[in-house]
Amino acid sequence: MAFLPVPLRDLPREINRRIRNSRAWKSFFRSGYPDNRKDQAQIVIGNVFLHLHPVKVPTNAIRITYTYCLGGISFLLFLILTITGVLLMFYYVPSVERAYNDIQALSTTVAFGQLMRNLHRWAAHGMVLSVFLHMMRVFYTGAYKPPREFNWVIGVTLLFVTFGMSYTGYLLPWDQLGIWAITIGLGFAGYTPFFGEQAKQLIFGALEINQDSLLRFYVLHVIGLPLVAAVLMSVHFWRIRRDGGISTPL
Amino acid sequence: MAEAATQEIGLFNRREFLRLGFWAATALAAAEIGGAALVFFWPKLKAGAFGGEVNIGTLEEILPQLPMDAVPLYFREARFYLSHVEDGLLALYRKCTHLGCVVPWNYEEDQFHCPCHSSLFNRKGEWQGGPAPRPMDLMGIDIRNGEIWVDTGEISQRTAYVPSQAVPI
Amino acid sequence: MAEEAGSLEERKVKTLSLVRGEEAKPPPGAPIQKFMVWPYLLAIEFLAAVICTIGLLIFSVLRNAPLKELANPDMTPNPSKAPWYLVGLQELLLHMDPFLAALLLPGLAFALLAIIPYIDFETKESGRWFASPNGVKITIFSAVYTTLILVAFILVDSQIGGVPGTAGGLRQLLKTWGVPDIVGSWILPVAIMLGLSALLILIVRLRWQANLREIVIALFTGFVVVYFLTALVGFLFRGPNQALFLPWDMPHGYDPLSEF
Repeated sequence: MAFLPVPLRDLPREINRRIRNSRAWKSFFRSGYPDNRKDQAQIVIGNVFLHLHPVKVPTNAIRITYTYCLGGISFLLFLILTITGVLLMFYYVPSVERAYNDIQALSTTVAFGQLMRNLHRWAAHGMVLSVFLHMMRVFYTGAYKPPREFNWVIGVTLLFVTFGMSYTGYLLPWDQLGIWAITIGLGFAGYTPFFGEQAKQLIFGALEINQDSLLRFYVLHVIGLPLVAAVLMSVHFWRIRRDGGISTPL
Repeated sequence: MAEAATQEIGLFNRREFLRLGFWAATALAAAEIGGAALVFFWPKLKAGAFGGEVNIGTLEEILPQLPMDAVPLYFREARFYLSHVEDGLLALYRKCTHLGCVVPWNYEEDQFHCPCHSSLFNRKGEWQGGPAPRPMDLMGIDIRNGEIWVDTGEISQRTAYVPSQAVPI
Repeated sequence: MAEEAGSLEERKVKTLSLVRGEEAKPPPGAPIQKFMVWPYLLAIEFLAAVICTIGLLIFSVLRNAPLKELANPDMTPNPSKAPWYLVGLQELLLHMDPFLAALLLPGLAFALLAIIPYIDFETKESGRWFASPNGVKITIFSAVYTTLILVAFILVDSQIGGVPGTAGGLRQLLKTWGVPDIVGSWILPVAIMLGLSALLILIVRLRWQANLREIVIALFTGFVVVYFLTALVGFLFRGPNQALFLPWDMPHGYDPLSEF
């Protein structure tokens, strides 16, 4: 009995208290559990993920019928796409000999492979849609007006990058759907005045769609465009706070 | 210090000159990197079956399969159609001049019919309908000692069909 | 949930953020009602994330991502289509010059979208859906106007000239009449688009005395309707040879939904 500092009955509570008072715990969590105003404010300021938000928000501004959560949903889908995308990369080789077989193998031999591919595909379509709807929401509520003009411009750029991310991914399964959609789409680039053919070849990496094109699209899809999107998103979110927080309905 | 900084040297004072120099050097470096990126990403076209000169056979072999105004012969590897019209032979690059889809021959309509946007071309590659802006592109044909050579790397655009485009036989 | 006196720390935080310029100055007049982000907003966001994730998961279990045959650079399927969010451009391509449809219009659309806040910067109606009761009517009117005209145009363009059912009939008709192609592929489409936009502005000006904001709403609504409607037509109603069919009545067993 003597080696226990407290009666056995109080042991769980004592362990809990000691952990919470330990150096390690306190270095991790700067404030107590946010069940009071002070800690609630501190966690939002002190946590790198939560400090996206101010401590308080206007009641009106976050009515579901005002924002429909569309910006947040777009970001959520981007995160889901990043996770499922990284998982798919473990089983996919961007080569014309292997790509199609790898996608087939995902749906036949890899456990949950088909599910990951489905999630990735539908989240990608969903993100294009939610980003577009988010733009419509911001437009119709007039939330782009000063001082938020530049954030709207960044948003339009993000719409473009979202198209790009989805479009480059379309080619990767190397099926008839992908290569002809890309051929048609890049035919558009061929109509650039003066250097249309060059513009097309630069994106294709060849005269006609081939291995080089697949690799280019792959690299743009898995790192190039997501990186650009991530940087733009950081600026986008940062500007919301800098430009006075979420726009407020009257 | 302040006096030295605002001292006039010709057009700029020293501080302005250095600032301008800094930005000019940065812009130059950025332009160099941009140019290098362009060169870096420029496609490296490999010489192969498509892109070089191809021998498709002798006139004696080809002509029996391809009488005048017959359905054009398709050479898949070399990516063109060989068409026999009243003025001679034409090698038509298989890609639609609209957006680059492969144009198949439509037997029912007796013409080329692009599946992407319904561009139509006749045996001479002339525009018959649809959004294509010009006739089908041509590859150069050379007949040497009765053998037909098609230069698949020499693809030329044209605005209309003229008899001199066909190689007489 | 409503704003109360708040603790000392909170006021400190608020003052600090004001000093740093993090928060906009509240407009003069009534104080804005606010509530704590933790837990109220975070709970909402968490709930939204969970609902979306579950919805996505259910959809992914029910429907597999499409995978067609192995890519074959020698054989273009009939029809071949761009992804749904770009198929609207493909639809435009059927009716006008490719440079106009594929580069100029989308480029212009993005540029015009981007400069909206520099045209319409009156902040009075900021934060209000459709700006005003008139705004709602103008949005509905613009949507109906654009839908009717676009559908009519697509139907007419597919029925006259050339092979019935295939698109770009107007252009082909003019071409067969010996009119220079620039009329059918450039002048006419540009005139139609500008004319219809001008007519839209005129109507909302006369009918509702629309201000700048409301005119921008009318034009933006037109853009959105064109975007989604051309995508819908291109995706569901275009069959082999890009001819118009009903989605459930496509020839050669083509199923547009199998590409989604």
